[in-house]
Amino acid sequence: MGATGERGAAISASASESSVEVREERVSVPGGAVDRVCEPRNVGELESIVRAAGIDREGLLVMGGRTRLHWANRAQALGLGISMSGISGVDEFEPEEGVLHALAGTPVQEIREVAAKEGWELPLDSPGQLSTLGGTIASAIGGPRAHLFGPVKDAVLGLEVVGGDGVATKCGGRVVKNVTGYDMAKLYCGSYGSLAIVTGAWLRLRPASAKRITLRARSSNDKERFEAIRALSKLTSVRALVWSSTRTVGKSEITVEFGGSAEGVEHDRAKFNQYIPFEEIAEDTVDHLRDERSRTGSPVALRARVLGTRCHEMMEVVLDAGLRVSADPGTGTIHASGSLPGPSILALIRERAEQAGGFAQFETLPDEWRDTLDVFGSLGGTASIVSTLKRRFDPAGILNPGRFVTLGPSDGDAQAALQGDLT
Amino acid sequence: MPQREKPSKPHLESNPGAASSPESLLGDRPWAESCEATARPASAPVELIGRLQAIVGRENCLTRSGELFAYECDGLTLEPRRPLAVVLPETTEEVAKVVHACREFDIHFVPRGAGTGLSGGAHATAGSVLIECSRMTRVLAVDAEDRFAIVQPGVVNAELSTAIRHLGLFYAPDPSSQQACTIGGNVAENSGGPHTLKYGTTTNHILALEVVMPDGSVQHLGNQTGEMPGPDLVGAFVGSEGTLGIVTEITVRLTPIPEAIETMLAIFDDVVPACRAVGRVIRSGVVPAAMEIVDRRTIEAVEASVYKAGLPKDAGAVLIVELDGSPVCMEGEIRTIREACNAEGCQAIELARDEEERLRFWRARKGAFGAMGRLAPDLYVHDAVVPRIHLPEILEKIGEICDRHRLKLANVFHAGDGNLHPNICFDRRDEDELARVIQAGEEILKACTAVGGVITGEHGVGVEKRDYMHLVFNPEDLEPMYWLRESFNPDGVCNPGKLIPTTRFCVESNPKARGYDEVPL
Ligand SMILES: Cc1cc2nc3c(=O)[nH]c(=O)nc-3n(C[C@H](O)[C@H](O)[C@H](O)COP(=O)(O)OP(=O)(O)OC[C@H]3O[C@@H](n4cnc5c(N)ncnc54)[C@H](O)[C@@H]3O)c2cc1C
Repeated sequence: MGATGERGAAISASASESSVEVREERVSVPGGAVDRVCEPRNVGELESIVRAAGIDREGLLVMGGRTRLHWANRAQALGLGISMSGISGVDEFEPEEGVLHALAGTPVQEIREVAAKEGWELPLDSPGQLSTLGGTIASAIGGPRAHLFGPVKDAVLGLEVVGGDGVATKCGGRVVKNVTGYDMAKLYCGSYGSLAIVTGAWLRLRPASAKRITLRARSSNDKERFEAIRALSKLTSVRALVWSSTRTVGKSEITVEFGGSAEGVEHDRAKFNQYIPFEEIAEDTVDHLRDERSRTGSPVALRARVLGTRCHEMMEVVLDAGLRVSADPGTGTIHASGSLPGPSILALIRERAEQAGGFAQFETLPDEWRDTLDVFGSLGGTASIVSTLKRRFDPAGILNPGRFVTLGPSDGDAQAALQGDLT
Repeated sequence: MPQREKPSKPHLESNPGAASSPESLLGDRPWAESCEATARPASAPVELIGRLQAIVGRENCLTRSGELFAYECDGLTLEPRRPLAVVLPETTEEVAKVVHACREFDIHFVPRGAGTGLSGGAHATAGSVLIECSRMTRVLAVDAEDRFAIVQPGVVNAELSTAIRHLGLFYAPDPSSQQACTIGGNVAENSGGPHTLKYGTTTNHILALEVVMPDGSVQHLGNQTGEMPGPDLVGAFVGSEGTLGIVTEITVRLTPIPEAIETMLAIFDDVVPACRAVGRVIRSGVVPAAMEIVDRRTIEAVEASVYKAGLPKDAGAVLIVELDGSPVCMEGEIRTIREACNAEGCQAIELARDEEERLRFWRARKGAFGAMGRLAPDLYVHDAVVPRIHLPEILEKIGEICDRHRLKLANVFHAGDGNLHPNICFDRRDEDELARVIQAGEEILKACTAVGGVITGEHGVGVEKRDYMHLVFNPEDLEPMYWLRESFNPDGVCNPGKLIPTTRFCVESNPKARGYDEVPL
């Protein structure tokens, strides 16, 4: 990391010119670490940091709430950490319109609370108290309530970003319908900060539910029951349905969160109870289930997404591998965690997920397994498009280098092209 | 911020039988000469046409003047441009071969669906080949369990919903043109419709795409779950107006037909209180499936047309509210809507008594553009969006702009989304009036953007609004849009001159891209 240190000094000099404080702090991530972190207080400061890094070809590690920093491929040539905590706050809220604007470093929980005060709900379900808006958008990960909310990108009306060239730009807008220009926000959502650093967003809110209840039941894991419950999850007042299971216990726990008008909720509760008896439990149980997924403490954690009709089959594959499952049957999403003897089982799980119409991502895994496993999976034929995008949006290859837009082992050319950017 | 030198031309919907046909306009348009001037060497097109005929069959490669006439424009009829040829492929392989052939002869190509676009997205540019998808009409697969269908791009929007109705499913995006427009065109424009309010626009319903890239290769974007790790390439492609490639297969999400649907007409004496009622509904927590406003002039036109639905002719505005979902929720939601409308002094509220009446209301709403043909020989359909809280003031402002320019205005719009369609009725033979129409259109866009709005909510930028992009974005904001286009379409051969201003493109570094500048407005 000697060379990195020298380049880091150059960035630090440039950053200090624009009076951005750079502090000594070590942050380790797969494949590397930074020893210095700066915390820009505004977008102008962030622009100058990124510009300086571009000149020096200094890899930047962009950090939000730091809840998902481990969830990445091995970093390449990291030099400076950028904490987005200084660019934070809900700076515009239009309760009459149901939209708000927040800066990227704002904890999602804070935005939820601001929205709730005026009877609105933020349709983002990222876990814990620490997840920031920028991190949530960059990783595009929802929680169990994605069942109702839809994907993260649906909540985003407009985005502001700083690109790899250190220039702040915006796309989209504050209105709820908009086709003015390309839908750039879609590219930034889910690109893990590899194409640009998100600095702020206009978000669409949903009316808060007049009534909410949460129910729980125990059930066997058999397919017939799973499918019956999955069908019930389509009822309009179901906000989330979590199926938790392990092979050792044998029984599963089904947690359902309902919301909407009192009539709608009561009607749908009755439908569930007709099938098997449910008991009412604490209203915030789904929050806990969601948060548990992000802090399993296990050596292996994965997220698979498959077609709804293949969800049970996929769940069985993962349970057979000895992992704990927390699934959202309504969206065909399976979170699993535990211990595995080696990487080949993960490769098999990925293969099965792809056969079931989707993919598998590995959130946590032993470092040595990264030699053979890509965290995000192969991009297939689109690898060349993604690598071209990376080259255009981040020509110096400084944004989260290697961590996200590292392509599968079969995508040698694109991989080489990307690495070429960094040298 | 760059200042515009001259106003863009408006979208003009010509009425059948109107005096000035596209052909008569052709001669006096400066770009027409430019087309001639930029044509490739005479032998190249002849050889290319032979190749195209070999790929799609002679009968599916149109080159005669009479045949090309119908393809000179889309719904933006002011600036017709004659393509070199129109090809009608039937398969992905044929599309790819056509693209390869065009590239070999250095000829641009432009994808086209039904040609109902209102911003000139499917206009041929400077001697280009139009690739029309109207023979690609197969529904390739329907999966009722996992609720998706795979269709070719030429499938007509409404026909897909008809084809799957027996499964209890429908395809939610419903542009008013849905009886004619294609799913491929909808993908390219990210089309909306009255039910966007609850169901979202096309982008929310597209899971995966097969695309013939501008280099002729075939790419598959997305998967049937609708989620892929990494940048959302499907999302970036939707709304790209045919500039990133040609969609040849589309996996769409299917939606269950709601158990209960209730449609209400709230009658107001003016459009402004109707807009305020929309604001109240939004604040109430009820999310209707649709909230549409039709103003007095539109009501007059509709009631005098085949779309007649018995709308009260003395009303200043009618607000159509549709609720759908669980039957047990309907009563409470209807009550909320009634309260919101009554609080804004609505004269009466009618609930559609049966399915027939409900469909009649919608026929009136969706046929409104067509009905306006009665008001004047030409119609300029504008499309802009404002935050919904600004609807009352912007409606007044638009009325004031049109009054000042002595223009006849009719409003019919997606009020729940803040998506305005001010329609200016005029006669293009009157040059002075035409100039006032253009001026008023520009002032309307400026008024909308001044309150935080945007210049298009669903009709797209195309060539019509390309030079108004600066009202929303500064040059830095546009730069990543060029990067996106260059990543898919590096030499600019696919639908050049659309969506983003042409001036930035660096001709020296990329000579093939000069086509962008060959499309004067
Ligand atoms: C009366 C009327 C009412 C309308 N109402 C609405 C409305 O409510 N909401 C709304 O959003 N729009 C509306 N429109 C506009 C228009 O119908 C939509 O934009 C529609 O999606 C265009 O579809 P099309 O098949 O006609 O496409 P075209 O007009 O043929 O093409 C539109 C764009 O799509 C591109 N394209 C077409 N096919 C492909 C393909 N296979 N691959 C890549 N690009 C392709 C073209 O290059 C062009 O840029 C209306 C138009 C009319 C005339």
